[in-house]
Amino acid sequence: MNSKAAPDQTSPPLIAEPTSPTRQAWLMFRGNLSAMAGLVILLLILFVAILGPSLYPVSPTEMVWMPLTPPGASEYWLGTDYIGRDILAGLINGGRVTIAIGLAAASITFVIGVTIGALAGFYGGWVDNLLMRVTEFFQVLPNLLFAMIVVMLFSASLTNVAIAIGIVSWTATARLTRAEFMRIREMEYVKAERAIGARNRRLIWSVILPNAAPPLVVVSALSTGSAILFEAGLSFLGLSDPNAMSWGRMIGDNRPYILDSWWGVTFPGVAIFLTVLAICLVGDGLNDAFNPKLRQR
Amino acid sequence: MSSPLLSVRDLEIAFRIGDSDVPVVRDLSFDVHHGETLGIVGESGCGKSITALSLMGLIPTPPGRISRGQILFQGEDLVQAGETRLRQIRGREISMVFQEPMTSLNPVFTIGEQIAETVRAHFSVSRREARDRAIEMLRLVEIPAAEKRVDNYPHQLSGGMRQRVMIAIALACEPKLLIADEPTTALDVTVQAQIFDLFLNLQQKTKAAIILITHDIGAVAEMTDRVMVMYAGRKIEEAPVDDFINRPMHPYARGLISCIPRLSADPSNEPEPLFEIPGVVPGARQLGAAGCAFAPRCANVLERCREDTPALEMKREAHPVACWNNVEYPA
Repeated sequence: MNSKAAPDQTSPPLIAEPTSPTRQAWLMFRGNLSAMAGLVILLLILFVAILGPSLYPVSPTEMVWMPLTPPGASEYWLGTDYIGRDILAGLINGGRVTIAIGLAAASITFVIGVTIGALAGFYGGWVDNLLMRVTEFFQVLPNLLFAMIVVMLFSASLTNVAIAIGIVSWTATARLTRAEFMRIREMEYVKAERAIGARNRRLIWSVILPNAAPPLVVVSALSTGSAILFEAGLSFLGLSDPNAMSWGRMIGDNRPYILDSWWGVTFPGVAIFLTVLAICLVGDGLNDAFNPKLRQR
Repeated sequence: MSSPLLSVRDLEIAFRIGDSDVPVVRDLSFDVHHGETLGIVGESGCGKSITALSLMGLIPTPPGRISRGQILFQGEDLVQAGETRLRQIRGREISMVFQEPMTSLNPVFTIGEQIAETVRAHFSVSRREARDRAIEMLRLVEIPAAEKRVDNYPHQLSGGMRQRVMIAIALACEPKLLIADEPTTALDVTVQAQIFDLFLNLQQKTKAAIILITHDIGAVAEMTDRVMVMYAGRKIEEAPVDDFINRPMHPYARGLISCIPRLSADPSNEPEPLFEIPGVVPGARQLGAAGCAFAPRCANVLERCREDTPALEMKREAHPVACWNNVEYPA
């Protein structure tokens, strides 16, 4: 050891390996069985959504076999729907759309919610007052109705659907961010940062936000799940992009034939259920990983 | 002596409580010279910390504000200075070590990043250079194996180590004035002694002036050149440290010194009961009343004390005191 030891040091100092908070959370997460199960399911779903279409190159929108073929009765394992489209191809391609919209909407939720919550919580006073009134305005809007109106007004493209979902769901993130900022703003280390000449911009984004990150990560994971459900709801009502296959749309399309072909609605339903379940398991696991004390109760 | 580094003139700090402005610090004037250590002592709640924060423009506003007076730092009035200018001064010219080392470091960054970032806030240096500077600072504050410790997170360090890191952060830009607000209150006694030694060493190396805020008279005796006693938001006595320890004039200052437990020369003697000053510091709302704020607790209270507020008066050389009593010491 070539380190310069203090005079009273008789043996080389014992130094713990640096363990960052992120790494500690990962160690906790890894030991959590249900969270790891969720992560594995989620990675599988992502894998299929990303690589599936090239491994299984069947069009989800074209008629490939007799309509209403049950699963196992043809080379199309999961059967076909009422106009002879392959259900498996629909699942694989629809997964892409569903997950993409979920992530896009959750990102919009995160960006709007964190920005508004951070500014309100950090500055307080009239800024807080104004931004919280705006938040409350969005909170009292009927979510589904508002999203439907947005989609109807600005054509039902995937981008617009994601934006509509983001706009109606950011309020919870904003409130949580604001609460965290109000708590952390009063911490000594924020005062100490100010005393070394840090700007407000730095305090908000580089000092307080990283400390507020754990609950925000959890809430964002969960909001991805609810965005997927929301998209399924919109496309079930026929308000999603007519050119894109998604799980919700498959359920909506096959709903009238539910008595003749249970498979048309069941498989996409199971896909949505599994994805949202996996996301929730991961979200809960993250929550426990960031707050090990709460978990012991 | 040359012009002082810091000169506070007639400072008044008021807090808005309900509908009225309540001054919590008033008529405060003092100087700090280059390379000097000034001790500010007094009980909790007498305005020491808020005075320190005011020097850096860090009073929480609202409700607090500087309602009168000047803070001249190298001739520049910090009360009039804008936020941009104050930011340049904070950490670069004046820096501060806080009371609570356990909570004053950001838990999500390594200590090296936190030192480096202070440097990067004030100088245009590369990450590499800032990191080298961080290691250098950790060596300076006598943290062993600095090049490994630099990547530690605050939770991996003990309280004393964290306070050393805080000192490293405060000194990283070689400020001219270091404000230490009860830097050892949260630490145990042996670590306190180490930290004070460190302060003395570093002061010799960096020639920074130090304002040491404390209620530890022992620390004052060991560390400082001059002492200022505050009570209820006012300066009531100021003296060179030897004069203060040996010949305190204000009854409050004498009380503070009598409160120090003493070892008897003869171990068979019954230990004397520990002295205490009766009562508590008056709350901010009671401060407006006429008369000496210490009168209700004072053993030598005179009729006059309850009516007139005593002004500071040079009772000895370089030893102003605000008291109607006259204490005589044999020459």
